Amino acid sequence: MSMISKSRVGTQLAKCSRSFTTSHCRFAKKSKKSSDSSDDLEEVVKKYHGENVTYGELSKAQKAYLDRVIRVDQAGELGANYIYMGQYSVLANKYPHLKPVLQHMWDQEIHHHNTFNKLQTQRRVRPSLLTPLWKIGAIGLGASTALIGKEAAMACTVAVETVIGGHYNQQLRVLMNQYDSPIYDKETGEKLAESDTNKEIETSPEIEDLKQTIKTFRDQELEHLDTAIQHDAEKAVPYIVLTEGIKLVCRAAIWTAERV
Amino acid sequence: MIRTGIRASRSVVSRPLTFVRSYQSKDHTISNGESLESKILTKSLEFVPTYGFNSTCITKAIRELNYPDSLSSIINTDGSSPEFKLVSYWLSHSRKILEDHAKDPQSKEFHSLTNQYERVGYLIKKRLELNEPIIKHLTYGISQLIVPYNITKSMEELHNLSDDIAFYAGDESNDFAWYSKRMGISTIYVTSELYQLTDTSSNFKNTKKFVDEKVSHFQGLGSAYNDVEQWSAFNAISLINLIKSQLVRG
Repeated sequence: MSMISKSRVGTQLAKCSRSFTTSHCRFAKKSKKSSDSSDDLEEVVKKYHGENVTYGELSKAQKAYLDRVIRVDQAGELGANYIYMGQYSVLANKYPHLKPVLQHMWDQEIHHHNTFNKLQTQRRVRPSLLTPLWKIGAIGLGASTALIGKEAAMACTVAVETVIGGHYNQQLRVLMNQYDSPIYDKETGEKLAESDTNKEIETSPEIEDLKQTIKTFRDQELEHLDTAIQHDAEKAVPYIVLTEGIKLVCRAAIWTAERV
Repeated sequence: MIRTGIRASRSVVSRPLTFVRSYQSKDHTISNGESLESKILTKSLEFVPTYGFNSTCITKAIRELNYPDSLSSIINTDGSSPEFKLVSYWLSHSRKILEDHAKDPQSKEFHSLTNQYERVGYLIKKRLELNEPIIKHLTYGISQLIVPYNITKSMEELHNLSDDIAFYAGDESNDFAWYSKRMGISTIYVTSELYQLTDTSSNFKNTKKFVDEKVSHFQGLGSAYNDVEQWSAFNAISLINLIKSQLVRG
């Protein structure tokens, strides 16, 4: 009889630690411990939050991936910034009704670009070696599609934002799954058991912030995609050729910017 | 004990071959602690002013720390000579001292400098000061660094140094300037160090003057580049406007 109840407690504990209902879990643990010794209560209830934990060093592969993420995102946002600059300089005066739309999207891209610039200098990541090329290429792409017509410019936006959105999603998937590192108590320096962690402290604020940044930016990029479709992107004449061609160019640029 | 020593030392030895350090984390800071190898090498550095960059220093350090003599074999697990090991460890150790100095809120003189280039000059001079106690062995040390087999590692160390100097001087460049700045700092450092080798003035006064001159040249170069860039952007825009006005006239 007692054997059965013990194993049941055990499975309950395991279930608790798997699902994130930490309050239940702590309760179950407390009741179990109290039967052994009632003095340990205080230690058991200790709640870990952002301030009293530190995190183990990232592995070489994890660092290398973050290195790439910041470099490619910086180069990408620089590209986006300059594409809108090219579009704006051609279209803004020709089509006054597009001016605020383009300005809004451009401003957001400038904000994204500045954010990644800051991350690049703070985390000491090297920028892409081909930065001058990205600048010229992006402004050329923006201006040349805009010269074809406003529909073509919008088709260019569709292609670029599709690739960027997909790429951000891919990064989020990796950041979500591959960045578990050991968590330590700040005062004692002891490694925390899995049951003591909770959702709040599972990932370090550093990684969490990066994820939130990428999420926000991805949502804004996809908003730009919607805006472009609302402004007749699909009426561009060789729509498929144009978008697929630009997508291909963007993928090649991403591949290169990650490495060089 | 020996086995853990080797495992730990490998993490120190096998650095990536790219010439810049990777991502610096803000929150993930707990590291695995000092390895046996770096303990021995740190101790060895105390003997360098007397014996030069020589394997004697390592032997002395092992004796001093009461380790078995056979431990000297863990120093060259990656196939490089003990002399080179000692020189390159000395370089990274001095870089660490410089970094600690730059981070230390107590170093008032450094933090009172606001100009980025003055800070670069200050850090280079500070780093050259660390050469002073071993200056008579430095020629031999440099000759170890430029052996073809070692050159990739020494270049990596040099670029790490210039990256540190640029970062702590407050460099915030995001484009190609990032590379040219680091290249410039490396060049200044190497030439100044070669100058220091032949400098006989008291307290290396001439070397310090040399560094200041080089850094101000470098600053001039940077602003010249910016001026040219601004000038060409201005001309490009006015060219476009000229073409536009001609088109409107028909």
